[in-house]
Amino acid sequence: MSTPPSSSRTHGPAPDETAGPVITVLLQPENKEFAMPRAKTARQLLERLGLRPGTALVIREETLLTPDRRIYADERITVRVVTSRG
Amino acid sequence: MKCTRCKATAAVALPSRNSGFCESCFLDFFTGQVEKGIRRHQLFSHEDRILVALSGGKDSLALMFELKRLGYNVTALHIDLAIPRSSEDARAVVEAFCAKHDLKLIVKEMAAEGLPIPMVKARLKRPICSACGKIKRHYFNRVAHEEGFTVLATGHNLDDEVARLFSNTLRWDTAYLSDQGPALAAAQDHSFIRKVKPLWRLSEFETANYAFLRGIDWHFAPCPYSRGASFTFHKHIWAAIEEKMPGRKLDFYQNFLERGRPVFAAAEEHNGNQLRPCDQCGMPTSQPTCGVCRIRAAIADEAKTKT
Ligand code: SF4
Ligand SMILES: [Zn+2]
Ligand SMILES: [Zn+2]
Repeated sequence: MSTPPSSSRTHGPAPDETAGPVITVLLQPENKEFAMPRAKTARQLLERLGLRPGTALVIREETLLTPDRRIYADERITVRVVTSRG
Repeated sequence: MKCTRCKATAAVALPSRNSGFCESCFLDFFTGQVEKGIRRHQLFSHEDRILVALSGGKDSLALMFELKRLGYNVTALHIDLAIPRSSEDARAVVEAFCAKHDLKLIVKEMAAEGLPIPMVKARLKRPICSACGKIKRHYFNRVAHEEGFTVLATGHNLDDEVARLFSNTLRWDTAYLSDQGPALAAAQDHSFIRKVKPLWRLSEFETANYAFLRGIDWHFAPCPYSRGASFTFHKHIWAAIEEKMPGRKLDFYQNFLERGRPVFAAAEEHNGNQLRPCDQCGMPTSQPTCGVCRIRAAIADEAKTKT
């Protein structure tokens, strides 16, 4: 029932002039979308967002990513925080 | 990371269990934990008529989905709290979920009951969440009683239970420590209905993964009154403990059930509170009139003096 990882996207966010690969992140539940320098892995992405693994789902298209999974330039990743924050 | 069971690429990493699972093995794992949770504490059987409280959040929806899948006789109950925006959204999520999965749904509207939460909040000096919780439990009991259900199931997960246990322990609240657990017998928690928490072995993160993989749309905007609600601070402490000592959370809870609770239960038997039916609604209470009926009367009084 797993879906294969998507191939690289053809229409990512506009490349940042300051160079370096970027990704687009959709942060939920706020539904805030923003570009940021590419994190190499899901774990690094969570770290940069100040989140512990085990508090948020990291989603590529319809697929869940474990913290060790690689993230590629120009990807759009959804990070859904699922535990109570105070 | 590879799936611990089948070696496919893992979708969910669970350091607490020293495991990782692919999608289908995770779903199997989840079902196994729910079944174990039901069996260990004999929560209910396929003969029971189960009322499942649905808030619209991931936990209650995941619970409902899984119980239905396992062939239990389930009916949904949603309490519409009449909180602007928030309650409408939550109710819409619950209604859509029940329609999609062909589930019977009972909705109780607090506005119609003379207990819209914003008015309760305006009237009370205490924090709203304790009153709101009391009102919800009151209607869980009442609906279950009136409609002849044999058990009420809620979506409380391991994180909820451990945070509550931690809070009860910090206060050494022996009354609560004597009966906290996955099942509250009708007689012991002083209400008519048996209450169960079939997700007690599963963390909030595990439930979220399950809900996502099952394609459940859940309501995730927080309640506007939720500041300081439901042990958020305690949950943070536990996240830190669990990170350092994976698996400690479930151990702590299970060992409490095995070794702690019986001691408190024995101690509490000496000084139990005498209960009788509320003179307004008939639900059990230690006062002549139960807390919920007193709140309702206070709101009605205020409305009268205003006009
Ligand atoms: S956060 Fe408090 S007021 Fe809001 S629904 Fe929960 S218990 Fe009620
Ligand atoms: Zn597997
Ligand atoms: Zn009453």
